[in-house]
Amino acid sequence: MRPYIEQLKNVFKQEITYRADSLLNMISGILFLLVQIYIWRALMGATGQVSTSAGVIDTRDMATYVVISSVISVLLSTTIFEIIDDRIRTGQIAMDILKPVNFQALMFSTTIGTVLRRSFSELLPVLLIGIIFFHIKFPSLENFLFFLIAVSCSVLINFFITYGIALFAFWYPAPSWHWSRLYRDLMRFLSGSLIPLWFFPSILVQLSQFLPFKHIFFTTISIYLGRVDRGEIVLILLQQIFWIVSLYGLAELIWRQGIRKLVIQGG
Amino acid sequence: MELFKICLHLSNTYLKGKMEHRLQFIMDPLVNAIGYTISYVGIWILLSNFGTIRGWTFWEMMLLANLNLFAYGFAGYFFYVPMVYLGTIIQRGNFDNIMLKPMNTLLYLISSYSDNMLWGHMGLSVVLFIFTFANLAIEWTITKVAFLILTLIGAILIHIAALLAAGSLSFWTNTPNSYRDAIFQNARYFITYPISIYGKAIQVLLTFVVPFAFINFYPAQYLLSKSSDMLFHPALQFGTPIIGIVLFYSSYRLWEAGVNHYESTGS
Repeated sequence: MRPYIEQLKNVFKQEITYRADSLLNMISGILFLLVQIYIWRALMGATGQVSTSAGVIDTRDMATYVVISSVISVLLSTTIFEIIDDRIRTGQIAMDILKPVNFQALMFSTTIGTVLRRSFSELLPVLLIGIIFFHIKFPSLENFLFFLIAVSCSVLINFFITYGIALFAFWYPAPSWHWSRLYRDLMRFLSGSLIPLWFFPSILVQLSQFLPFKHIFFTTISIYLGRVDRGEIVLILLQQIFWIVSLYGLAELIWRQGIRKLVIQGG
Repeated sequence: MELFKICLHLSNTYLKGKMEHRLQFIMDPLVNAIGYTISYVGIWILLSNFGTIRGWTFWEMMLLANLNLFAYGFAGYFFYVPMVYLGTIIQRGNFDNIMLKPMNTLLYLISSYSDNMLWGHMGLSVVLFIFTFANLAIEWTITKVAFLILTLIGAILIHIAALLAAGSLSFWTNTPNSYRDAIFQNARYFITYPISIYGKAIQVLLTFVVPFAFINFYPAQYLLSKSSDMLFHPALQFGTPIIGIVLFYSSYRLWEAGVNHYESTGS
């Protein structure tokens, strides 16, 4: 456990080095939040509400949705894409697998370090603005506890997908930002991070049943907002666990294939 | 004419070099185009639920989006990568080489590094322009066609001015270009939607301080003969070319000041 904790601490301490980065991310995050809230206000117009498959939604619900969505996107932040890309391209990965540490666990502790660092500079400001200026709603204690479990699952699902895709660098002979951008754009859309699935056409709702993305944002925020009952919450958590296990397995498989390719090439 | 040939030759040399990596050559623009397409699908989903956003229909929104995307794609093709590179070129001391070339330094820089990554923006916007104009009942007159052409030139100049201003700061600071470009990046995001949905402060900001609203919002009002969503003064609809020229001139002066500053340090 020691090396992973140390790695986490190191990443967290980079705060000082990345102060300008944090400040810019914070400002962009707040502006992004403002734009989203203005859009929903404009869309809902004078009545300030709209009826959906999940009941009547008003501007305060949507403000809450947008703020919690921003909070989750901070929790999903990770730098492992760049790190893994760099290690594979430079061949450093060959040294990494010789070390007596698990590479995946090392990447996970790196991610948690980043998340903790960015939570202070970005999550808290967004949450405070949401509470003070937009009067976001608070869940019941029970829903809040379920929300915390679901959010932890969101982070894990996103981590295993990101880790798996980052390993494509073993085979992909072009810059891997292609994949991180494609994943981010597609995931942000299908997960309902910007538009809740209530508003999706039925074909996309059906498609999302077979994909893990909606469990990263939509279902988690629905739990916070109290739009799902106890039975549905249990079902959501079970599905999240199913995805975590499957995606972990898939990532392991990609890792083994990647290492095999490395050995064959004699890297 | 001779100068044009030289520029074309420089540009072809860069693109040929990039074409060596065929996959990257194709994926760079494609990934960008896919990202924008996904965000437009998002706008379509929102408006198929709500009908309009402050009276703007889907295709009217597409006019906004594409005036911006085309102008940004065109400006970015010539300026984005050169301005990102500029910092590296200066730090490695290679800017002296460029200053020794018997042609305008800026012209040399943009001819040598114009990157096909931005072809995705341009290609997508041209395709969408065709669909947008087919779906909007604009009565085309000579005046409106001339207006559209002048507006596009003005909008391109505004985007160039922003990229050039952010890039020129490389002569004074060695922060990454993305930091200096951040304010314009946020402005680009804001104008995806009609600026009338925002509060007065943001409207003033986008009209008089970082006047990105002239790229799409004001000229679109004229093209669509919109009288319902007027802000400040109707004359602003015709301001794009003038604002473009003024901003481009100012940022070119900043560029020149930067080059002079570089010479005076004599590194």
